[in-house]
Amino acid sequence: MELSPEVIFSIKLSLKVSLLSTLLVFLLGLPLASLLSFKDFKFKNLLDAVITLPLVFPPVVTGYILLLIFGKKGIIGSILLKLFNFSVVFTWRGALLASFVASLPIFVKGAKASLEGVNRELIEVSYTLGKGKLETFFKVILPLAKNGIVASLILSFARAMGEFGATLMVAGNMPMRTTTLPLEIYNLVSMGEMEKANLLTLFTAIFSVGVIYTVNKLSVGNKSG
Amino acid sequence: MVKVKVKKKLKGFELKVEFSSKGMTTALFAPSGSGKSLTLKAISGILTPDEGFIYLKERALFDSAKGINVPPQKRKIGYLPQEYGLFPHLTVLENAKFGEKRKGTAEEILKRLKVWEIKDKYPHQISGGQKQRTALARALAAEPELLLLDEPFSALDKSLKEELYKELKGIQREFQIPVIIVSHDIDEVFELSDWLVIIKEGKSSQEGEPHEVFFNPKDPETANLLGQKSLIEGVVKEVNQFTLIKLPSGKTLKCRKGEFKREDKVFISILPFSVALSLEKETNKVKVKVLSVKEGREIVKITGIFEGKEIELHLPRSLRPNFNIEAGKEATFYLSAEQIPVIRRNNEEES
Repeated sequence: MELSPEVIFSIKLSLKVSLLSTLLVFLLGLPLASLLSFKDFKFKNLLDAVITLPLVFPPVVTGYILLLIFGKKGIIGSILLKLFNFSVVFTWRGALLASFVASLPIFVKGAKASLEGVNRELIEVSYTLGKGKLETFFKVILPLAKNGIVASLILSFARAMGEFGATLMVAGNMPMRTTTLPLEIYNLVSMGEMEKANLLTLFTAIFSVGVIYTVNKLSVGNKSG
Repeated sequence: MVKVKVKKKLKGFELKVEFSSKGMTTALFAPSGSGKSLTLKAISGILTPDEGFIYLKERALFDSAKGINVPPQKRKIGYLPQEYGLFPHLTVLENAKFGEKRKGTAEEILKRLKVWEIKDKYPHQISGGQKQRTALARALAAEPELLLLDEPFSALDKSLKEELYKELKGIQREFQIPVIIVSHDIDEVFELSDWLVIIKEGKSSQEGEPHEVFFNPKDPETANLLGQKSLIEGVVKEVNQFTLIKLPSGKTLKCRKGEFKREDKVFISILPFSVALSLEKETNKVKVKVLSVKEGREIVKITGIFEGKEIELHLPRSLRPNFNIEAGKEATFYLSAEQIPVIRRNNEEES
């Protein structure tokens, strides 16, 4: 069966959005997780709550809030538009934003648990052996928390791939522009094109099993190491 | 060598430790959970005291009055936590090289400590004794000026302990490095240390050379901590070359000399090893109702009643024929006056 350009576009877009989102999640999420694990500061609980919010909010509501903030009249959206003539909503960047916000808490929660799981005594010993905080982080903490961090990253990638509700609100459902894989499946089903929908579903299923398999393998490695 | 005076308030616990060690190996002795490990953390710089000072020789590591607080990285202190704290993701060699000061020292020390053969193994692949040697090698390779050992031998069996005691003493001689060791094993303290600090519920209560502390415990609790279980009440009658103590039965006993006055209320401590051979000027002749006799391999353990209290006396196996002892009968012993500690009784305790 020939794959339609729409289907190919949706797979490509989803991979691009999810990979970029995961990269951003890692770059921002690791410092955040470290901060929440090792530092005590004012409003720490509040910060934790704000990051976690998208995990408990219905994705559509998360999307709506993002739309309010990044829309043409939103606090950030209006500034971006004025200064850079740059719009997030109803573009693929909106899908990226939605995926990022939805998958960040999954990574931060998991990474934080892994970092906190590192025996404090090892950190203290590293200090007495002359290593500073940064060196200790990269030589002791990170290698010991590595498996958990990678597993959390894979889970957050999977969450980004599956993101639907918030994407629909922020990026819209515009064929060949913002239709990510889940949106394309939704469109195909609503148009009655079951064969194509089934194919995409199969692709998603294989992908998901791969993710679960990898995460399980990593967490087993964590226990024995 | 090491002078410490620190105060730290924690949740439901106050650490207040003060000592000034004149020895090469200082033992912090106390039951578990009484703040010994916290003291080590304060010395290593991991825990910042609320106030006080920590001096290593002349070097100030911490002095709240002068605003000095050297970070742990710069203190040059080797710290071995209870579970050795080896990095599980690094091999024995990588562990040893972690804080290495000069290239090649880690390899040398691993060879010296006989763990070179296992240099490529990971911590979970080696035995308790090997872990300890690796942790020691890692600390030494960083060329510390002081070693802190937190109950280093508690998880090891007896024969291995004795081997490692020798090893530790050898290393100390070789590297000329002072050691502070935390222990709740009194035999270990006497085996290894030349300065003893007693810590009770987070507070240091007595310090000195181990035998000085052992034979002059400050109070009954300290005596108990040191394993002295048979304390008998008495009153000081005379202080001369010995302390003469009147016991409940009216009998007086010559005991160890101390700073006591007449009529001071005291305890005397009957130690298992106070049995002497004959009635010289230095001994007391006492009658003990024998309860049991346990014929051991090296020593004969006798329990009996003296002045209404149960006491235990030990005889070397070889001296057994000199004594006529039988369970249920009275027996005569000579107790060395020097070996009977006198302990001050607090007035409150009487009521």
